[in-house]
Amino acid sequence: MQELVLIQPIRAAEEWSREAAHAAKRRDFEERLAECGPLAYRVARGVLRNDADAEDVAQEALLRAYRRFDRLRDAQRFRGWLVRIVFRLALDRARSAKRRQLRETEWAQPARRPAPPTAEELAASGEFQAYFDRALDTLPEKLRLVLLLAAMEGHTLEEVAVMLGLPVGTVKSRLFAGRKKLAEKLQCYVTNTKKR
Amino acid sequence: MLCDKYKEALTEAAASGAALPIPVREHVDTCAHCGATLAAQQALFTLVDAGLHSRTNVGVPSNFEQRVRAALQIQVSGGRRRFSSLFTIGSMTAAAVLVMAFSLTHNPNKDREEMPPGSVPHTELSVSHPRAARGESQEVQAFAHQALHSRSRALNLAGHPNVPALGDSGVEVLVPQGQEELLVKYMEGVAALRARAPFSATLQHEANMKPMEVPSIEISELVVKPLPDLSSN
Repeated sequence: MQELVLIQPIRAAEEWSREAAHAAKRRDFEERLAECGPLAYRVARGVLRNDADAEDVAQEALLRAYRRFDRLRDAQRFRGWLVRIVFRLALDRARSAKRRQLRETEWAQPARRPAPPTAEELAASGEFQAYFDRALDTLPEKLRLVLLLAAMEGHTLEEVAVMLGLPVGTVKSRLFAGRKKLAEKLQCYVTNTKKR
Repeated sequence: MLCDKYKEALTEAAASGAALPIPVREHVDTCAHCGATLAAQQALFTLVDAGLHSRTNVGVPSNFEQRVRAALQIQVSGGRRRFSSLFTIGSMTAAAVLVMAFSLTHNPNKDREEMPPGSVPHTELSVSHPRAARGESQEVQAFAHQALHSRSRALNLAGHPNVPALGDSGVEVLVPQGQEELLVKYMEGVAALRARAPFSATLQHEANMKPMEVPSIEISELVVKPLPDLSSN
């Protein structure tokens, strides 16, 4: 007579080991969260310039990192890995926000558009900061990420290099190139301001 | 024009903050234009650094970590729910496969097909079960248990009081925790169906059983001839 055999691992033991693995993973991740959460927020804030968006993106990136935490082979590279996730998500969010803004502007009625600000209002609203932000946004991504990370307090060039998995020389050259491009763009602003 | 060759060096010095090379330093000391350019470049890079610093070193919201932890908790519990629903679906599928295989291998039609043509099917249910033959009550239930146990000599429903561990046949079926009762009930149901099926078939058999009337055969002439000898070829 033919026998039916259904082989199934013992559920209790399997579940117990799974629970233990989950708990260990979560414990490990939460330690890293306390250490790297602010970094994620700052990177997102540096790209998006908006607290709420930055918080959303940083949180999403951390959750995504948690989901894929098992795939990370070298735990020492967590910071760089997280930074890249945050940066990528923040860029996506910035692009979609820009597209949305463009769409809304195109469809907006002329009567609903706000009146152009006066020079005094522009100065009061941080015109330089806006100009600086625009200049920074036009930089290539690889330069921008290095600039943001290097400008954060407590990050040496060596740490940035380790974080991004790049040689220190590459980080230095990118930093130099990024600052130079920014300076060139700001030079125009300074010159125009002096002419006014 | 003379100062153009120093322009790059001035920019690099302003960007890096390093000291100027001696020839450039000497030129800057004597050239007011280059001195002003250097000062402007240094101011520009200071502006760049200040802008970057203010943009990146923002305060993190105090409740940010708590929010992330809460979202993490939601995600983990959501994942567990997903996993448990997947596990339930898997268990149900496994149980369904088990039940299908059980019902296929216990097809009563198969038993009837295997029966020799001359044999008569069971006329009484009680005959087919030894307990029933002894006159015990609850014949159908007993048959159900018998069917369950006889079929699944290999079944070993761990820890279930109704289904004892059976022999060391080397084959065992593990049922997901908490579903032993369901399986036992289902098997009882299947066995009860099995028990009813031959019974109804028997009644039908008895109802239709009539003596066959065969017309008499008359043989007018019978000729007997020897077979041709095949061995001569």
